[in-house]
Amino acid sequence: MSSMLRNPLRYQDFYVGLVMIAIAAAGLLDIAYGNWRTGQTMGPQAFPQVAYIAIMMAGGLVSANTCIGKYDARQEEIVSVLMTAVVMVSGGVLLFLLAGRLGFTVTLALALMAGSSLLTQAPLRHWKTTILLPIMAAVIMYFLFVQLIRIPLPGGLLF
Amino acid sequence: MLEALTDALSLALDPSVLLFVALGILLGITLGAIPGLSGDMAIALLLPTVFYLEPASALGLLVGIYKGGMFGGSISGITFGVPGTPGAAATTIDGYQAKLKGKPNRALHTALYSSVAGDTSSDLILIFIALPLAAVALKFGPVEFFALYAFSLLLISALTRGQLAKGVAACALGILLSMIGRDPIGGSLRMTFGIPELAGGLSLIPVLVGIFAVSELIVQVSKAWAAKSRAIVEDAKEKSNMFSDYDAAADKLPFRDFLKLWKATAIGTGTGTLIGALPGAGSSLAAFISYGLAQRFSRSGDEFGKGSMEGVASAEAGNSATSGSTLIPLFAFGIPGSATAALFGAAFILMGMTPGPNMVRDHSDVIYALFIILVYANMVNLLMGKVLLPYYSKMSMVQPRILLPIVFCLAIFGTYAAGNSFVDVWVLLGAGLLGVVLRLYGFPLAPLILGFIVGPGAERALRQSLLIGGEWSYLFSSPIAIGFYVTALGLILLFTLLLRNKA
Repeated sequence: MSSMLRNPLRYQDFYVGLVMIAIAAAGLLDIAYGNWRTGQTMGPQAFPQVAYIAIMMAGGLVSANTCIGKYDARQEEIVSVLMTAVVMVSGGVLLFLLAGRLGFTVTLALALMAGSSLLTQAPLRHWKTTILLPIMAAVIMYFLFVQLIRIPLPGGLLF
Repeated sequence: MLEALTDALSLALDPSVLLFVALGILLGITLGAIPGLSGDMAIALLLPTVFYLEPASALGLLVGIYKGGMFGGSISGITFGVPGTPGAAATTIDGYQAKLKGKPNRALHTALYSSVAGDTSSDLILIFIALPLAAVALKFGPVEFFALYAFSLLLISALTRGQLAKGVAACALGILLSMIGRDPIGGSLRMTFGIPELAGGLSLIPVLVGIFAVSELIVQVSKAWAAKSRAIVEDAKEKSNMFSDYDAAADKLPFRDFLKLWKATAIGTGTGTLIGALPGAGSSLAAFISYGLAQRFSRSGDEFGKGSMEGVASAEAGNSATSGSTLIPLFAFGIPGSATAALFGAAFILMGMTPGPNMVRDHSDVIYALFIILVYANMVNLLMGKVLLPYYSKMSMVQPRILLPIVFCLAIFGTYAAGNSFVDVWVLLGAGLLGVVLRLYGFPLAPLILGFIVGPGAERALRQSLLIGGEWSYLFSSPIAIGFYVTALGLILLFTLLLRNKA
């Protein structure tokens, strides 16, 4: 236990277990004091209650396992993956909002160009894959989805 | 029956369906061959197209992707030593060694033939087992159904890779997500957090695509950003150049040579079919157990791990033989036993069919057409493999930096198009974030998806049981229900011991 306090990051699963317990406790408190129709024995709260209790017990087990040396190794790239997640989700929101104004094809071409350029070293030197291919992909996807399968996607500037 | 079969034949043998099967196989092989991407991801991404295609075409596309993805995983495993999917890890052991010994073509052909053999047998078992089981399931009451749901949830939580507690938590989280919206019996709102758009609950597509595809994409983009994936591809390129003096003529696999591997293929087929039918066990476990059994019963067991074709055949047959049998619980009971089955279940729901025993009765033409497609897709896979095998290995060289942005944009627009709903896009991105967090902290995703799909049915069965019986002990009043609970516990114990021995 003392070694865990000295180096808490090594025992990430201990905190994962605690977070699970906290989430389940919040859910159970919501059922007890929130706006649920809890009068009946098998009302709408019963099944969520069972799920919260399962999460709480699992959380306890994850934390307890950590204390006896059974835990998942901490992934090295955790920060970079989370950063990527935030950037991509924000990008996804932007992409979706832009599509309403510029249209599906233009937005898609721009997004693909931005995406492949960001993932390529010296993007201008690889212009075929960072500029030409995205434009072609956007046009192909327009014909495939809008013309062939008739999925209603915003036309915007072009159509 | 005869009329339904005739209708099914005309549906399944339509040229456009054949075209969609071939397209699906190509897509599945491409995504399966690229490490990190998978056939499941492709199925999730293309679910929205189900709305816009004829049912047989949509099912042909999804079946093609599934079968192509299964085989595609072993292509990069054999060619570069990097399994494209977890199920192909066992094939990689001997496949890559065979390649290093200058026999990549033999290994690839062995994998193709054994994959098709395992897959076809498994599909036939599905066809002949699912229908009688569905007839039995029609006699089930809520107590038996709840026991069946509990059986599946217990098994999938316990048998997926990683800690049992995390599997259970992921499953419970999936159930909670499925509870958002109106209570199916009383009609009151639950867990909507005051957001009126959530009153209808979370849609299936954004949750599936977000959890499976978007979270995987985020992880892969992060790797591509760190240039790790480029290192893999360059390493692979380097390795593929190691054989400039490669003798293609000496590296052929006549079909009669493959027939000598019948025992290993049969062991893989039998084991894979059996394990695939169990909820949660998965293709990776099936492939490794098949490999271990084939080694034990082989006269040249010492050759395993050194490029043995028996090793390739048993592992690949075991991997592919899960593909048909994993759909048995879905057809017979309406319970998806794996992530792929859950995706097929979602496709049925989107087509207006409820997976389960009534589905075969109510939509017999489409289901029989699916059975026909399942079988002939294997032949298409075989024919395409024979012609395109030399080009398949090149597909796993496609740079992720080109594919990842395309797939991400597809996920967003596809989800929006499926429901014409802004909320679905927010749910997709939220589910993607949740999936990333769960992946990073070692939670398996399959139990979450199963919990999300099975949750409402399990709740209905439980509440109906308690309304009828009045007390919890009523859940143990049926011998069939008790049988399910005992079998679940027995299987969990058995597999825990097996996995411990394997470790």
